[in-house]
Amino acid sequence: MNIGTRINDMFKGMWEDTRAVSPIVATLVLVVVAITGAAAVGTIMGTFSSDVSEQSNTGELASASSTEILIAGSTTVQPVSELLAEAYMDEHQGVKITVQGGGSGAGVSSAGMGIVDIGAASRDPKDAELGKYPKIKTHQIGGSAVVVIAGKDITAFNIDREELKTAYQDGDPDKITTNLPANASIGTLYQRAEASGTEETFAKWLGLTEDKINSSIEGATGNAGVLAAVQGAGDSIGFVDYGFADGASDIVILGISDTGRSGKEYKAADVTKKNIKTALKKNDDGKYPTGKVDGVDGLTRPLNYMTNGDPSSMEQAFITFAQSPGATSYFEQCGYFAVTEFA
Amino acid sequence: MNKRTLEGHTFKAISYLAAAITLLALIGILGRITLEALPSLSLYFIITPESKVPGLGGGIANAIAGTLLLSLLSTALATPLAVGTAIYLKRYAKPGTLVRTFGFLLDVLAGTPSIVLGIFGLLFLVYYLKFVTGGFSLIAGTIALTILILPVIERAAEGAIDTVPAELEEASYALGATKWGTVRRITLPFALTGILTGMVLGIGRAAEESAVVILTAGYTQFLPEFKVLPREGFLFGMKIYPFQDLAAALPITVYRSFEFPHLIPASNGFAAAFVLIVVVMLINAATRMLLWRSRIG
Amino acid sequence: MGPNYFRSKTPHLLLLTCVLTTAAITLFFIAFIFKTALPVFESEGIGFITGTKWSYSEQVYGIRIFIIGTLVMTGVTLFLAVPVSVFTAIFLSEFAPVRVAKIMRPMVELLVGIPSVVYGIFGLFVLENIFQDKIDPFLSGTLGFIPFFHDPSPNSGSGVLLASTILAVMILPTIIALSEDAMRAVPFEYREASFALGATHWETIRKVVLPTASGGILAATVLGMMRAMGETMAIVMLLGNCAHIPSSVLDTGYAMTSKILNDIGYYCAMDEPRSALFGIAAVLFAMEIIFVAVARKIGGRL
Repeated sequence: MNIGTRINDMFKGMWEDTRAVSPIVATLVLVVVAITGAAAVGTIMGTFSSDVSEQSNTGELASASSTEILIAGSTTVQPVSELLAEAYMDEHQGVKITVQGGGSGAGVSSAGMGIVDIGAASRDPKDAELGKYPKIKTHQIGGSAVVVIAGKDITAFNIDREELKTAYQDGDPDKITTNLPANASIGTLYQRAEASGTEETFAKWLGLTEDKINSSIEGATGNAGVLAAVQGAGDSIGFVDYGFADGASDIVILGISDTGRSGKEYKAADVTKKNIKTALKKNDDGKYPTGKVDGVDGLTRPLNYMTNGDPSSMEQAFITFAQSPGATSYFEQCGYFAVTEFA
Repeated sequence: MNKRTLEGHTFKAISYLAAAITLLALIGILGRITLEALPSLSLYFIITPESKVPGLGGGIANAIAGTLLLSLLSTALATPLAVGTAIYLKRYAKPGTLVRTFGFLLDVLAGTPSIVLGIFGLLFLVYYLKFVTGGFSLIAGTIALTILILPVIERAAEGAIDTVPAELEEASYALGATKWGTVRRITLPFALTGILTGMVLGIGRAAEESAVVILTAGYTQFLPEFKVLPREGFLFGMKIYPFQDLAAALPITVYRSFEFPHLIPASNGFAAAFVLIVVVMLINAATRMLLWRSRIG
Repeated sequence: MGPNYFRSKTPHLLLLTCVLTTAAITLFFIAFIFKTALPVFESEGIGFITGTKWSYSEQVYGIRIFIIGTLVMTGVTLFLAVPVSVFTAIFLSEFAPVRVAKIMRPMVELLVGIPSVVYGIFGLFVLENIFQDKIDPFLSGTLGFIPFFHDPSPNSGSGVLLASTILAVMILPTIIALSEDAMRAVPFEYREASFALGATHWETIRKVVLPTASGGILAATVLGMMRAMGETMAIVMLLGNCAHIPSSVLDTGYAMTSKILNDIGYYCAMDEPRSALFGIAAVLFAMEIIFVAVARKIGGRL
């Protein structure tokens, strides 16, 4: 019945509405008004930010490339980049630094292709990447470590590295038996869903390439995703950046029993800021030390900025700021370590 | 009670149950989002861009502006194309293989998974056309979203044109009106409700899209700027803001709160989602009001 | 050929331009995807679709697991969403008082405006726990003797059922709105004729309204299905991203869209992996095209 009435209404509207086109015009007006409105609001608010560019305009005609830096890449580096950018912009009026994610691989390739000014990566560039983009220059700004974590049903123990390797290779958590607390069993393993610098560091430490990690292991998105997954499943094991694990509830950081390789036993208590810093200090040959540092041996990785060729003077100024002692607190806020803390 | 009425009552009950489930899902999700959003919701949060707040999160003006620009611009681009196509296919083209093929093409486009469109945008618009679009930019995002919502609006427009009674148009022709005159005075006004619904759907679809936007428009902590600056390597040697600049979007703000839970409070993300829903709802309501007024007046 | 001729031709030409632009965009887009994917089809052949191994280091790309993951997830989604949405549409178009329908309709459309990321986060933080603690144990406890409901990972809520539940909610508004439109488009005289013949309200709905609107309902379902198949953000968070074929509705899986999103950022600049990822996109696209073709064959224009 209502259909009949509705159709009747439509007809009525039809015939009574002599200005048949007016709704179309009205709509267009609405669209135009909405866009103008958005533009107007944007301009009013934009004046605050264009003050910035006007200041830099004094004297010479500034070009966009000399007042803007776009950083993209590793999601691990992203938060610290945002904090650094904010602090830098506070001190340097007229500079605009935008930060994006995308992953370490995207960071290297975007920098190489000139899509972004600075690429960010939580690893060193690979030979294949350097082959493709030979002009890539790496600037280390900090470092961090990957840790193995377990859910709240498991009390901290020293997990056997060889068993962990087999478990991740076969996708079988039952392979982990040594040192496992009585009554505890491991139900689920987690890995990263997407290709990431964190997973690469972890796989390399196990002695695997990253796609040798069994693909039937459940993958969660980002460090945050793995952390949430391990927090949610009490009997699970995963790996995340130290910055995410430190102070997180419902998880424990595991120690490592490295009987197969160095024969050492690292206690969970050895995974400390101090030890990570020691492990992050590269040897004179540019390689990370092995067998010297308890607990985090081989699980550290650099946080890098990359530029295509030499950085411009403004990019260099920002990179220098990121490498300066004054930047330490921003790394600390994210759970990472500034390059001045260990270099 | 005989079998026929029993059957009738049973299915009526099932229909009510289904509607109740739908409403429950709606209320559950909206309620939860609102509840989680409350701690962060404030005028300051809404009118401040993230760049003005120390640390990560804290403001979403940049994302609101970006979402409005992205969804309105892409709808503005897509609507003429979609409506024009719909009118041509329905009123001008001779029905036949070509029209059927074209309909098929549009259906394919309508079914395009957003991620496929996203990687197309990333590779073609962001990487290959960098000198035109400026890499990750508002314009790259707008073009990709236009392709996404074009079939949505076209389909709505075609459906709306189908509801126009043939007698009306015949009467118009009988009175000596031209084809375009008939389309303009009879077909379009009659189909307007449907077309507007399609536009609102298009705006909503563009506003809630995340995969396409993150791969084409990127993200920025800043409000859109309106200016032109010289820049090497760009078309005409200059960078036109905000089009060739990065754009933020509310869904990406939501995703960031998931990505960096130790730096951005979760309520920030939910508040961004809440605002997004309100924005879409307001656009929806404004359109309805406009329609209603034009009906009455 | 006076000025009148051109005046009457201008709208025609303008409209034709719209059509041609739309066609050009669509064809270029499709061609671009398939062209970028071509190298991987050439090197892998049919093995790209039938293979189960995906390894960048060994340069082997097989996507059967992802295809099946997507299909299973979509199937379960439709099983959950279609009955609820069709009956809701019946409620809205046939039973609901005008005022109720007037309020409910825009509310349902509002669901479209919720971004998929929010659905993903909602699913992960709210529903995941409920599934892990309540629904999964209940299903595997009562129906676990059927392999279809066996729970291989009792400590995790993510999996096909969780992803499908969220997807079902996501596609509800699409199917409801379009089905309702189709039902309301059934001419009122049909119903009156049916009532006049002594049919009850429900009989009229079943024998007159539903058959007449079936094309539209089917089209709505296909549209919802495509939305489910193409969904990315929420699925990445909820399906588990395990590269194996789900053994039950409670098991985890890996969808084609998730694979693309997870890896594209990392591998976008490397020719071969990029081609492989575009290969997934091309296969997904081809599947959609087949579905569209079938749906058109059955139900006419979508």
